[in-house]
Amino acid sequence: MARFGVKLEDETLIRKVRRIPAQGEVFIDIGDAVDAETVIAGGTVRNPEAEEIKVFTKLGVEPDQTERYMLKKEGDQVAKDEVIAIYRAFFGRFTKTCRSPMDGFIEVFVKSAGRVIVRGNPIPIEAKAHIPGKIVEVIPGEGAVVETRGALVNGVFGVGGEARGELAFAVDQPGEALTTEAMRQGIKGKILIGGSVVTLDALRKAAEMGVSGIVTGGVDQKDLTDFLGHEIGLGLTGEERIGLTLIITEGFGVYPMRDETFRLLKSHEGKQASIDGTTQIRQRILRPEIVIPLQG
Amino acid sequence: MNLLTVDVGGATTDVYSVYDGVFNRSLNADIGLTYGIGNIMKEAGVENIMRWIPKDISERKVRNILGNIMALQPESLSDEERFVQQSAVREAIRLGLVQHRNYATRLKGVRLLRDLGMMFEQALEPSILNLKKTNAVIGRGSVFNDQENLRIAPLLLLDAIQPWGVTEIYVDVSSIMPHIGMLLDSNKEAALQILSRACLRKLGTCVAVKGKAEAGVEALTVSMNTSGGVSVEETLAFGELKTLPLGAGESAKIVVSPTRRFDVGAGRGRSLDTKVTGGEHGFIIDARGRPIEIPARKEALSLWAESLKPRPATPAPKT
Repeated sequence: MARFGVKLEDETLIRKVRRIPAQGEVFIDIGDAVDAETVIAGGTVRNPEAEEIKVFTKLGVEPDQTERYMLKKEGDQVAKDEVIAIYRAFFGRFTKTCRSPMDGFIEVFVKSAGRVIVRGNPIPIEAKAHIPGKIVEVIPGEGAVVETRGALVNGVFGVGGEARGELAFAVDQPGEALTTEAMRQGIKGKILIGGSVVTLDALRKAAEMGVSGIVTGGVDQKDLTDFLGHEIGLGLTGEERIGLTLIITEGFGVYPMRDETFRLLKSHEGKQASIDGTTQIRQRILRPEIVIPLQG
Repeated sequence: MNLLTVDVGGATTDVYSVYDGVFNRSLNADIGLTYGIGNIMKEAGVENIMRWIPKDISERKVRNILGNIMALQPESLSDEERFVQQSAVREAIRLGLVQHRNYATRLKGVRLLRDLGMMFEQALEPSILNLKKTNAVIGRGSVFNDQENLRIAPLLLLDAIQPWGVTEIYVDVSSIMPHIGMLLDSNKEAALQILSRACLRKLGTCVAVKGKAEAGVEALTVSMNTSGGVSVEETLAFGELKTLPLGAGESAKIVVSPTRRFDVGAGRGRSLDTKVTGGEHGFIIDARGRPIEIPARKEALSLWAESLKPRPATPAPKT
């Protein structure tokens, strides 16, 4: 199979657009120096979790009579199991209640239908700089562009989102496999560089020990499927919640990491790196990447 | 004419059909040969892909090959990689047809008057898709433009679609079919000419039987008399696949006589007397029954592929 070449840059100008997926607040200005953990912008997004409640059936009344029994109105905060409507009869001896199914707020109350939609509280979001550098552009209400000089390596496939940590080598040669033997004390929060393949046991152990990321030549597709707990399906990744980010530089199977890649990463051993396993094998192809900033 | 077209792309598999003048189109999003190849494995199961591979390749290796086709999108493939890709094509089409069958239905909720005699008629089945009445199938997508794949394109289409009765097999080698569709409104004649001369390549005509028997049991006898004056008679056992030389542009009269367990479209054990035209692969006789039972022996799959190699036309006997 014709090998797909990975992008390798010893030193290049890297620009990253960092934005939140909704209007919010931007916390930095042009010219500001940021580190990888600096929060660029923050805000909230609508909670997709919502539930429609037929209040009138819970109370046993006609839909258009529901309003008189409501304790909450549109926009009011509610806690899970909090009473939002109550029906009393026989001087309070007989009651029927309608409770909120979740923490959130009353989004809609339809008087004529006697129904309520309770939506979960807005979800806070933030965009961190991910790479240390300088702010060269501000996107009002959304984020900013961070610029830095650094080394850049593209992988061919990855899983897991953004992660940061110190580059640590788990193998001596690019043809060596990354196994559980490399899982020693002191690797928590680091990005382990492997050789030809990472085993399933090593992946599991690494996630357990809090390894930030793994960069290796290959991984067995079956092992990755078992590690993820589901078939990969589409070539669209990055949202997996698996405890670490995995980037492969060569392909599925056992493939020694290319010498140039191995050497470049080796030359930055011990430095802080920012990695992102997000992959999109479609138009506007997106490959996973390893960024090693040369400053700070 | 009833027509079925399958379009296998990188990210989607589309199926188009016209049965009794009713056009249907379905799109199986995210089932394709690059971006969507992992989804074929997810939806069909890796074991269903592996059953078509004419060689023993471990599941791990098949998975890695599929993963690499998705991630690396290689321009050239090794033999093993090609086997895996061709197997994935079959499953992509099969999944597309399953979806199409559910989509191409008669109006729901319509009450049909029926009598006892109509009980077994296909017309009363919920889907319009009728593989016995399919006069022609067309394969399109870059996978059919590849020379290596083109060599076994009829097999890929027969395995995946499994039509029975008499079916002509074509591939769209120019990938301009959709554009010709746009031309149809303004110049029907030109559209038809381009379609037949520059777009479609006829691979052959296939006659396939429905039925089941033990391997080796006689399934049918075919006698063919070509327009060039060549007469051939062949008897096939259940599970066999064979081609008779009948070039593009040639026609032949055929009489297909299935044994009593098999049906070639005229009823169980009843002969079919018709005229067929040839193609690059000749006249194909498929005695594998329907649905096709894939043999455990991998050699059988290789034999099927070998028997469907392109056939030159038979020279007329010297007088």
